[in-house]
Amino acid sequence: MRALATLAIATVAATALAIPPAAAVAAPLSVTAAAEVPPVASESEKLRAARTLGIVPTDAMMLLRDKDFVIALWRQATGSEVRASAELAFAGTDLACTEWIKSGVLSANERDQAQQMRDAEAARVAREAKEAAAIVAGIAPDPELVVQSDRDFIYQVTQRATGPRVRAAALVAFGAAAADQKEFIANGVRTAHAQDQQDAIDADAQATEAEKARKAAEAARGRAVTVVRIVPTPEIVSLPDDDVLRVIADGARPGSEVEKAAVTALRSRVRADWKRFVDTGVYEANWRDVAAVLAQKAAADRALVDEIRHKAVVGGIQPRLARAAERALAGGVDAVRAFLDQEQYEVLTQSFSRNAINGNIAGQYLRESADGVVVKPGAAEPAPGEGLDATWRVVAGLAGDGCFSLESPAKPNHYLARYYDGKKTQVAVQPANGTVDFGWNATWCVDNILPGAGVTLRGGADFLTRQADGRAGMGVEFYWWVTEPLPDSTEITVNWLNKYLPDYDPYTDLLVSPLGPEQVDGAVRYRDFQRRSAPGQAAFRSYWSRGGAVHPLTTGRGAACASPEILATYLRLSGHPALGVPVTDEACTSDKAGRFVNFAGGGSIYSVDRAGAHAVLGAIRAKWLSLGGEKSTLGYPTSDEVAIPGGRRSTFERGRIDYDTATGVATVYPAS
Amino acid sequence: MTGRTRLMFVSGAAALALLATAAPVLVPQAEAAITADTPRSATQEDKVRAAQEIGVVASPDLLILTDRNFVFALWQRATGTEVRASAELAYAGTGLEQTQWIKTGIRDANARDQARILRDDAAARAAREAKQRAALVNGVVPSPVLLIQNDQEFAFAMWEHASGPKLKAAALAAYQGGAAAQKDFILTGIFTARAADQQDLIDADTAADEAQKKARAARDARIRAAAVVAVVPTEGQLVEPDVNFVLDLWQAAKAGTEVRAAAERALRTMDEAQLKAYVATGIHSANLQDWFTWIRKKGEADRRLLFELRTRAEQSRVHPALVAGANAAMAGTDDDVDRFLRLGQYEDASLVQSIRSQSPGAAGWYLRGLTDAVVGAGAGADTAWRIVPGKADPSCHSFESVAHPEYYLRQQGQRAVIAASDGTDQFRADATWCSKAGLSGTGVTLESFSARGRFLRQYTTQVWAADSSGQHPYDTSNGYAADTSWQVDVA
Repeated sequence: MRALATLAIATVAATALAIPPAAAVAAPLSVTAAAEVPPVASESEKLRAARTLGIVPTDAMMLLRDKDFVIALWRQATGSEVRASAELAFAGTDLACTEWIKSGVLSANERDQAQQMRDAEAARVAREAKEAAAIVAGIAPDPELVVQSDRDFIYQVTQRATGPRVRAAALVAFGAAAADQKEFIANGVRTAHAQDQQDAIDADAQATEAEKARKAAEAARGRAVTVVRIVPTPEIVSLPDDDVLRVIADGARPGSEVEKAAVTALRSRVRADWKRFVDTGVYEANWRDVAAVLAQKAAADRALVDEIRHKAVVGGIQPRLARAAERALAGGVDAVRAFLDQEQYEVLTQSFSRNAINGNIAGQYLRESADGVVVKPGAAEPAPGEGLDATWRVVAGLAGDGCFSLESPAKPNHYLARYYDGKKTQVAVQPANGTVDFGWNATWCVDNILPGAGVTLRGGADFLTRQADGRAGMGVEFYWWVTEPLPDSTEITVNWLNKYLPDYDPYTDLLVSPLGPEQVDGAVRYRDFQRRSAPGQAAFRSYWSRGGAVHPLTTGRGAACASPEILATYLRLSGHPALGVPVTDEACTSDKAGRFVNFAGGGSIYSVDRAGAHAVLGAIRAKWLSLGGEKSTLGYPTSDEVAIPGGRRSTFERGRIDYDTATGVATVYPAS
Repeated sequence: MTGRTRLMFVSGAAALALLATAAPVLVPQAEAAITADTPRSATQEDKVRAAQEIGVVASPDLLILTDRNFVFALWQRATGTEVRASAELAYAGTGLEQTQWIKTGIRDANARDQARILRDDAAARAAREAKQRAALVNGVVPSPVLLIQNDQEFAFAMWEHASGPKLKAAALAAYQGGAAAQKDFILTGIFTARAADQQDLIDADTAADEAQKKARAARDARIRAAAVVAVVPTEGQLVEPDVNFVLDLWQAAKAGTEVRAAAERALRTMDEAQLKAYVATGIHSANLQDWFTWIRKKGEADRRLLFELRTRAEQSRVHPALVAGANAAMAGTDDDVDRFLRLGQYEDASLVQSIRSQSPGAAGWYLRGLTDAVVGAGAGADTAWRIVPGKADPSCHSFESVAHPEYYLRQQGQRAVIAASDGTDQFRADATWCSKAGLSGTGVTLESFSARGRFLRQYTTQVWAADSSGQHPYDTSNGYAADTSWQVDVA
């Protein structure tokens, strides 16, 4: 408290007296004189004052008067307040000097210290700002740099910063006001640096894009040259596109699509065309080359198949092979391959039938029996598997190509062969023994092919023939039909063959051929047939029953006396189990307006347009026929037989016949 | 063969493979010095005739060779496809096969060459090509000599020149394993072992990144795939697009193979994944399929050959044992059939028969003797005859005494005697007998090849080449049919 009061007084005094120093001098003296306190500072006070200022007073200094002591301290003091107050003091009275020594120096020094502290803080802030700015600008913040003035610092930034934007901003700041310089150091450099960074990032991104593009282009060129089997070395991939094109054109197979496309692309002056070739064109051309090779292969395969087909046709006894080849040729690449790989070996079996030139003797096949090789029909009701004995695998002749050998499918390695029994040449199925002799004896040549008549099979000098006793033997020219394998000789088959084989050419479809296998139901057999003109569509169904003859029921309205289908009515009425098999062919009715068929069960089906196709059965039929049938007043049946209470009834165009079960009498009721 | 011989031999072969021309001399000597002849190895005369057959002068240095090395020597000199093929098969087979090849095989093969009939060629080629693929995938350039080694020798050679540890181990296992293991090694094992070795190398390379590893694996796969079609790919082929590489494989593959068909299918899909799959695995499975197809076809062809052999044996009327053996083999597996064709048909079990008279006075007595042929009752070593193809005509027969090897039943002044060959054509004709149905209606009658019209006849227990002219006492027509009818039985 005291010290403060003293200070305040001194200050007042100092300020009050500072302006007119001369006038002030006298007053303190008077005050001093008036005061009771000693007028000079004690040694300890001087010592304290000196020490306050960090000065070690010499002995000589200690001997100085107060005023001189103040001046001595003033000379050495650095603090501005201390010096100013000292100046005031020594310009003042001795008392002022004494007072300064006693207390003024202390307060002045405190003020200096406070000032110093303020300055140091500002300096630190400034220094740190510069440090940060330097770091931001990428300059090492060494001590010399950061203590420089803002302007010098900024100058250094312009010299040493790496970022162009930082340098430019620094240059602007260098010439700007101090506040702007501070602003630059505090923030501007940061902003500029961020821009530099962004620039670098942008630039870098741009550079990466370019590099990537270059690498991609090189990779594309590398891939492109591999098409012509050139290893993509760095030298090659770094070539310009047009040179790469030349490399490809040189490396490509002469005449290839790749070469052509490369040359075409080279002729273009447009870089994009070159690049397009390198990127995609070369591969497209390459695929075209591959496709061409594959197409060539496919053509070669087709040629092979065609050759097989041709040989099979010319050979005369491999119609199935010829047809399979034709089918394959009509199909695609896969069909051709499948034929070559597999199918051609699966269609080698055929049968050989005595031809029908001289009458209805079809169905007699060359077959191996317990009695040797014979030419005979099979059973009318063949056992399952029958027909294999009449089937032969037609293979290349054991004694050489051009002719054939006939192998037994049931007994592999057994062939139809000739042998000499001591009297004459016979024919038998014999095991192969690998000798040349056997090969010759098992080889047959086709000399004559007559469509409709068949082929001859020559072995040695003679021909395979049917002898009078039905056995196969050797003799003069004899014609064989080459037919489908696994033949049967059922009545239905023989009926069919006798009717349609006279125009037989094994290499074309018959006029009429079976549609599906023959069906067996006890003693009844039936089979559907199709016409060549409507394949896949049943033309008629042939029925046969044990002990009977073959009779067909046609589909549709029939050729003669066209009328509604009889077969449909027959089947609607449950067919042969109900009515029995047909015992007549379809015949015209007396008025030629329709058709009728009689059945084994004692019924008939009459068909005429105006009444439809209907069955007439049993006693009713007998009554109706006794009246004259369709010629009677009743006319054609208009319904099938139906049950009525106590009997059965058929209706006709002009009346009906009722049958009484109890009496067994059929009564006619003409329409009234 | 001993292990030591084996080793020496293979290194010899390998050396030859490298020094091409030196091979002929080195290999045979190495073995000739060590290996003793097997029993009943080919005689000098057999060898001379074998060499003659293909127009080679049988110089002394050839004749001292063991049968195996003799086969090798003739293989080197032969030009005919079938002769070479059959020699390869015999060389890779057992000693018995080599002997048989010298005795009869080379003549049959030469006849096939003349007639342009191919039989052994396919088998020999299949064996060669399988080894060629295996050698290529192992990075060994296969020499002709290496390719005709048997499977075990080949496995050994692969062990010696193994391209990686797993392949080496697989080769060793194959070498120590059975025939099936060796076959498996050559067909697939060596490929998978090589792939594993290569994958190991790739995995071990830490420097490479995934893409590089993949590229390297793809490259290795291409090399392995190319080995299947016996191609060493160029650098260009290793980098070209998959479609082109598959096209190359397709063009290098043989017509009619699944390898080729599968390549075509892959190409026609025009699908990168399919093409890659073909190179990586498809071609190998196709190759295996081709092998099985080939095995199946060979099995069928073998059965056909056996069937024909049996037919001939039946028709000869003197080979009931051969017929029985053929029947047994035919009832067995393909391997049984193969073994019977290669070995069984030449073994004594198939060829040795006894020949018994059907003459009323000597019914059931044996044709026998050591100098003069006689008919006598009771068993004995001299009743056994080895029935071999006729010395003068292979479609007829010669009868070698089992008790007195290399002595044959011949007619000499119409007397049937048992004599060794004097090397003349006359001997060969006299020692050849042609069979026909027994004159008495049963059994077989044997006609002398040198005196046609004269049949082997027992007459007062003596045996003659007799007719029924009555010219000599033994030519009496009395009992002629029965005296000339013989029953051939299992000895």
